[in-house]
Amino acid sequence: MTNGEEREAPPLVTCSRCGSTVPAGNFCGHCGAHLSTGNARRPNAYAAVPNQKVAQLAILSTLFPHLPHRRSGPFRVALVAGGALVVMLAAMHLFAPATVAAVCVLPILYLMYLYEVEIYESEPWLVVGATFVIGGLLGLALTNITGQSLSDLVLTGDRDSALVLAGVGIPVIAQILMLAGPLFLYLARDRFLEPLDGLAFGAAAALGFTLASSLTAFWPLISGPLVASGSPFDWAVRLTRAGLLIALINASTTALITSAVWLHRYDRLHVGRPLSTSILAALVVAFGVQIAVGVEGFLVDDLLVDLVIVGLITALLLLFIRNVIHDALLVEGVEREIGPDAPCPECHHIVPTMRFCPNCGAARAAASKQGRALTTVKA
Amino acid sequence: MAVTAPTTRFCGRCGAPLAPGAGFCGRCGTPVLAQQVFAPPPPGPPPAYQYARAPRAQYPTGQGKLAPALIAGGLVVVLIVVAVVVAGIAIAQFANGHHSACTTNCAPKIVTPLPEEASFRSTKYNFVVNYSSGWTVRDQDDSGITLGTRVGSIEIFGTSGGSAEQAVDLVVRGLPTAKWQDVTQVDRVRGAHIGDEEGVGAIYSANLINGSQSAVKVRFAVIAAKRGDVTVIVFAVDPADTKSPNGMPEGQAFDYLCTEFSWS
Repeated sequence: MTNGEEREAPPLVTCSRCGSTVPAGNFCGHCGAHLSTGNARRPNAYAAVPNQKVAQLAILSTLFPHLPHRRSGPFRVALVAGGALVVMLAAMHLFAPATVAAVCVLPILYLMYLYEVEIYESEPWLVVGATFVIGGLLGLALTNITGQSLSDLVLTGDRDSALVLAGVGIPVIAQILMLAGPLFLYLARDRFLEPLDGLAFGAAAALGFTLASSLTAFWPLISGPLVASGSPFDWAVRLTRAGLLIALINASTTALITSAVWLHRYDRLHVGRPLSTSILAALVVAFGVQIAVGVEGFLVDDLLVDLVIVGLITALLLLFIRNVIHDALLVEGVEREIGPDAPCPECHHIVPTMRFCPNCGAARAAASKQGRALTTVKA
Repeated sequence: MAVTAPTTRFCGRCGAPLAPGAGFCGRCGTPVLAQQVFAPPPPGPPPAYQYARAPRAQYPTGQGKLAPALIAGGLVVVLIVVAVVVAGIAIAQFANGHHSACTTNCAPKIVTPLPEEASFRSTKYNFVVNYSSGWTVRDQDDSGITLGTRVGSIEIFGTSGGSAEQAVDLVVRGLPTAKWQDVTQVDRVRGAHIGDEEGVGAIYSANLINGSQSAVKVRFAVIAAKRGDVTVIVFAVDPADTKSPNGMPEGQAFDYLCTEFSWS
């Protein structure tokens, strides 16, 4: 125990939700339910970062769930710094570099995240290759092929065909292609078992795809004059949409499907899981959102109105996937062990090693893999 | 609270009592081996228990592989490097390709008649446009028509008042900046005409951003001519093609349409 001081072991209590006998604390170490209220869903304590509510709009703790609360600060600063750099370049009318920087912010930040939390365990090149690289290559290929067809339809004024292609065809094909890399990992590496592994692989593949796709789609603008014409406001709106919102939407829809697929394998009992965590629900929401954004982007000409609508869709999607992550982390596995005492990576209290920290309720599956290994060694 | 000695065993998942010696829960099927086999403590509110905070030296610091300053600083540095490299490549490509379009002293034009013709009559401004029957009517009303061509489109419409120069200027300045980026005049249209009326015109390069927020390099021509109080404007757009005269693959077909135009 701490400083060599002997502490009495925590008393054992019965969780009113799962019936397990668990060490006392705020949360059941087995099922994560709030012990005093018996609330299984604990809406005020998001399973990945328990000091946040489940229904809270937060990009980092939603798409970067392995990041401990204390480590999210530097990533938040990095996101703001990246955004500030884009704004600065756009304000100087350097729209080509601003476009490149805008579409690179989230993908590079996500690569840093993968490195930080070691999702890939001992196979970094395989995981990054199967997600970012395959996603990027497919994004490049699809945008080159469909971009030409779409331009032809737009230029010849064939709006009906262009709507079908831009609103349905391209989003559906893009979503399928974004899933290719993660599904390869699903089939080839079953040791990446946890739903959050699937989430991270899906988000990474989608961000690689979006990066290549956006660079290809905007290449005529990037290869324009260095100090370009156009209103900085229009550019700010356009870059926010392409660099932030579309990247978030693609990452969220793909991560939604992959986390549902991984959860399906992880929780074979399928008992009492909310419908929102099913593969069918994930497919309906993901493809529905992609088609909605595609149709909306084609029909709405006003940049600001378009940005507001896409922003709302992004916010709702982030809240939805956050709920799915929360429910996925609360799924009971067969693991019922009470391990040795070790510091919780999230709250830093010394607690018995269990699926959930009895003190703060953080899911152990949401801790970085290196952090988990270290706590075990220290114990 | 002392741990009570094991008596009856309960499933750790669903709480159902377990049969003696059972390997799995009879209700939910959960394996028993990994479960705790303590008898449930007495019901009631769980006792409060405060876990000790780990000393800072025991924090799992290994979870932070990147120094905090490196995350933000590294991202910005990488973004700057990537932006400079990609933009450099793109601008080099732009510089190489920009001047290769034939804009002056181009080869003599061979104007071949369109195979079959359809026609449109403006009831408001009394003009007739003959166009290829292979082109598609996208929009039309009493003042003009919009046609989808093989790879581009052309719009012919009438207006009243103002000079031809003003009409060209108004059309170009009226293009929405959200869709039309980097509009740059490439050249004047020499010998611009609409029907038998002399006019003015210019060719522009631009990036057209379509509905899905992807961009395409285009060339467009705006030609205007005036007879009496009626000004007719031709707005033709094609994907930019550096191998074609003026960068417009269908330039000859558009020119033929202007020649065949009839002020009636």
